[in-house]
Amino acid sequence: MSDIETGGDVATTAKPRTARMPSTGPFTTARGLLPLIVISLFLFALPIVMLVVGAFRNAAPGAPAQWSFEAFVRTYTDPASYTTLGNSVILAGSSTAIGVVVALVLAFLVTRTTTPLRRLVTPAMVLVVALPPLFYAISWGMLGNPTIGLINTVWKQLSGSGDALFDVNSWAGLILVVSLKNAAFAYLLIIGPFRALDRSLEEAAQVAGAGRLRTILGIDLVMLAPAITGVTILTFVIGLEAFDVPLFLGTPAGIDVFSTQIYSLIASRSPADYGGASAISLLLVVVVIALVLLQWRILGRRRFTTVGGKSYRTEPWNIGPWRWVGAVFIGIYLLVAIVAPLFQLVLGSLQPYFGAGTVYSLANYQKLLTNHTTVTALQSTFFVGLVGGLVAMVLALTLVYAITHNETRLRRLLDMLTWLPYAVPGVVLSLGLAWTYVSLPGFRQLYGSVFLVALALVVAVTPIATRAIQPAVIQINRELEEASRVSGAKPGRMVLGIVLPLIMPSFLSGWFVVAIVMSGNLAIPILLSSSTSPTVPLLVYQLYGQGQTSQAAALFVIMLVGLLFGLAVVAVIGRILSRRFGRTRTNR
Amino acid sequence: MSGVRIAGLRKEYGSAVAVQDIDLDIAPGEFVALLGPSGCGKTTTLRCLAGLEVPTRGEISIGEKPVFSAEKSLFVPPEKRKIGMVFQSYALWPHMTVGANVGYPLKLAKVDKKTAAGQVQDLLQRVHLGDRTSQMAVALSGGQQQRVALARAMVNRPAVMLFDEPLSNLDAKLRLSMRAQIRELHDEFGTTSVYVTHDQEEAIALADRVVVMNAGLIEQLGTPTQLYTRPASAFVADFMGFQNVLPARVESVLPGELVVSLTGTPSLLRLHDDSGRWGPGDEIAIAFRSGHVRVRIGDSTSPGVLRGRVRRTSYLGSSQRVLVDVGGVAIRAQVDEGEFALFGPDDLAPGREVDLEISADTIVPLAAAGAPVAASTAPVGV
Ligand SMILES: Nc1ncnc2c1ncn2[C@@H]1O[C@H](COP(=O)(O)OP(=O)(O)OP(=O)(O)O)[C@@H](O)[C@H]1O
Ligand SMILES: [Mg+2]
Repeated sequence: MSDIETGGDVATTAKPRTARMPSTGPFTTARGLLPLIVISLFLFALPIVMLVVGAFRNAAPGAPAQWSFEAFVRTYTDPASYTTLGNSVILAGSSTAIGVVVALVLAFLVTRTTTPLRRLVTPAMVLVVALPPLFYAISWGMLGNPTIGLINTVWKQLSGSGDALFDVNSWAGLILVVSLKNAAFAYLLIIGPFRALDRSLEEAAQVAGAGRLRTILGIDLVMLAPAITGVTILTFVIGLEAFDVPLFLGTPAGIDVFSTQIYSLIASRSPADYGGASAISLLLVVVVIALVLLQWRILGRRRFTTVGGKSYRTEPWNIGPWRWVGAVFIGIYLLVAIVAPLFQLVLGSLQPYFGAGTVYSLANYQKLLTNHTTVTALQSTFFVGLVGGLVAMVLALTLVYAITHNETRLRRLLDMLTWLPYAVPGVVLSLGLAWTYVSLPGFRQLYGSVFLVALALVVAVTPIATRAIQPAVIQINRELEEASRVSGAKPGRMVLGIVLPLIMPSFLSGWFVVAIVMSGNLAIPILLSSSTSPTVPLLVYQLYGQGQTSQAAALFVIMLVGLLFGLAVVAVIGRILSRRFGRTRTNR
Repeated sequence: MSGVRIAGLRKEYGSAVAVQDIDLDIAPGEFVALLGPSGCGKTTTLRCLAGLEVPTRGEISIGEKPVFSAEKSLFVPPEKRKIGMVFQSYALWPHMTVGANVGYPLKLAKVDKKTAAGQVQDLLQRVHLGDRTSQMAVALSGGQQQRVALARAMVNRPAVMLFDEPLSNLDAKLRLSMRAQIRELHDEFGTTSVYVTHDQEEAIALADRVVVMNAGLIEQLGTPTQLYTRPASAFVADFMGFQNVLPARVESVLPGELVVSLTGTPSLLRLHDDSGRWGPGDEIAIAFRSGHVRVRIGDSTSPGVLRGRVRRTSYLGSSQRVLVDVGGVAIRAQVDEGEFALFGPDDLAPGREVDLEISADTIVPLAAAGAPVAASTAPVGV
């Protein structure tokens, strides 16, 4: 709320000559928006500009360099770049296809049928989306380990065979694990349109003599086509941006995708090839921006939810014995996406070393909680999650408030800027931020510190944070704010006294989501953290890479428990607040 | 006590002009209603007064104090204008109790808690909600919420009260009692009030003076009686409920009187007019209320009687409306309950011949305002 005083004292300061357009509130004029535009350009646009600059320079960030096309030419004439491109497309394409089909089947079972277990699906999907990708990377890395993973040991015991059933470090494993999360993502985006479908159209088709299945294929899928296309593109983008899972599961199998390639150009070359990494990043950024624009075109920026007319309940379809097939389908998904990985993670964390038979103890936890590095990492991760998350939410609130209260064209620019980090994959963003902060005098000293990591994570989660707070801000009746101004409140007082209390429940839940995403993020700290101040995800990755799998698992479990505890606290606060404001909804 | 002065007010939104050019002087203690159809700029004018919008041009002062001047680039924000405002949506803060809502302006003005509590209680009692202080504001009914909003707007005795269609969300009965309450508080506190409405009845009942607006301009300004009996334009006549606004031609000018013919008919009508604005041959418009048209059966021959045929009737209980065709011109007339006995069962059936009497002093001559204005928006019906 940087400029909140603008409206306050114009009356006394305005002189005839310094004529300046007065305003009713801090962000209503173009001038009031300017500070936010500058901040947003710095946070969201500059890293991408610096990435472009970096691709045309022949030295590492911060080092003296000349302009050069060398890295660019080298990257785009290297066949390996195109193998990487191919790999990324295969991974994103197949995991999107599987994810969207699974999401459609589940959405259909949940909204239209009497399948048992259907009520579990939505909460489970929220959980799958909320769990960091790193969780899937490490737990499935253990689960599908060819010699000591749970799947293969059980299989060997059951079948008596000595051969592994499944190696997760493979194309199949990679696609399977990325698909799990994509399915949840697609499901949460498609379930709204599914519910909003106008059932009367369906009934009309049935009256006209179409069979039930035919109705579904002919009417529903056609009606949902724009939403499904949008979701498919979005899921494909997420598949392209995947980092944690390919890093854990693909790299050992020699499968490189864009994001892991970018990382390895910096981490496993000596000297690090920043130019090449930047050049290849640009290709990814261009592809992703093109896809996002395509998706906006298709959906007209409607947020997936405006498919149909009124939704009214009709009898769910009794699909007879098929509902047991549906239940098994749901059961299998829940097993592979939640139960098995969670079980393997906890089980593995209790073993002195991963695969150590049936001896279980809390030794790993004891070791970690008495180790200085891990305790510091836990502390800095919770700092990043809590304080960084709060900063992200305050920034998001300021941006959303300004965008909704401004009537000039500049607000569109600001809106676009807040979307930028979404179009840039984590590793690329952290590379861009590395270029940016290393080149800026005041920030260079911060390089490697937890503050810079937190700042970078704030940038990365801004699209999520703004989307979390936006509906609440839009819903506030403008007259509530105006009544407060007329009653004698300055703009700042109005925000604190009226706006904040009204959006508090959304603010808290947004804060929590953002805190989870920030604490679980690996892509940002992996390039921006120094080895002396790692966050938990980075430490988990290092331990895993050193073969300390059990400790990595235990560390991750500690972080999850910490977040769970945070969730409980937020839930209690939210419950209290919503009881206090419970009647808000009955207000017209 | 303070009045309000608005001079040359203009407000544009991009290329759209919401308020074109408004000049208005409101005396201290006066109750003024802004009346007009949807989109004519009433709300915008009021919001400019409140400081919730920055006008494009013009000057506004409240009391002797200028609060806006485009030329001097002066703008006093709403919180410093010492006004009270009642919104159409009530705008009660859902996270506060009734008492906290009403007390909020006092809290911001740093009035000490005890005095404030007393004032809050006093005002809540005046609006008959003294026992609801600790309830959540949005748990009340619509009418009660609006009374809380009224109490909140008045609690720190603002010099000027602004109302934006405060009663439009209430049912008819509640509206009447709230109306009385608003006027009562206005008189008691001696505030200056500006009241926006699109309901002419409400404006007439409440205000000392009514401002009729049209397309961002003031169409007419006057006391309720002036507007009700002598509208100055076809637009105002239509808006004030004149059911008949018809084109006519001045045939001759007599002392204090005009003789006009209804355009398209040979029928002549007399009407009072001593303005001397018109001469023979001028095209004008005439306006009269259906209630002032007496329907008679048979062949009276007195002058000022129009002969026509009944097109349609509709029964309204206390009266009956009759649409009469006079040489191709449709005239709306009304038969009151007391006159029902004058007519036989078939006397007003469609196609029957009737005479219409309109007394000269109830017909208002108006400038022929281009098109027959808003009367044409409603299909010709009874
Ligand atoms: N924020 C805005 N942006 C653009 N145009 C606006 C805005 N506010 C009002 N207008 C336009 O200005 C004109 C006047 O609006 P205003 O709200 O003052 O009308 P009103 O007389 O109060 O109508 P109503 O009786 O429907 O409330 C309308 O044409 C409206 O569309
Ligand atoms: Mg209005």
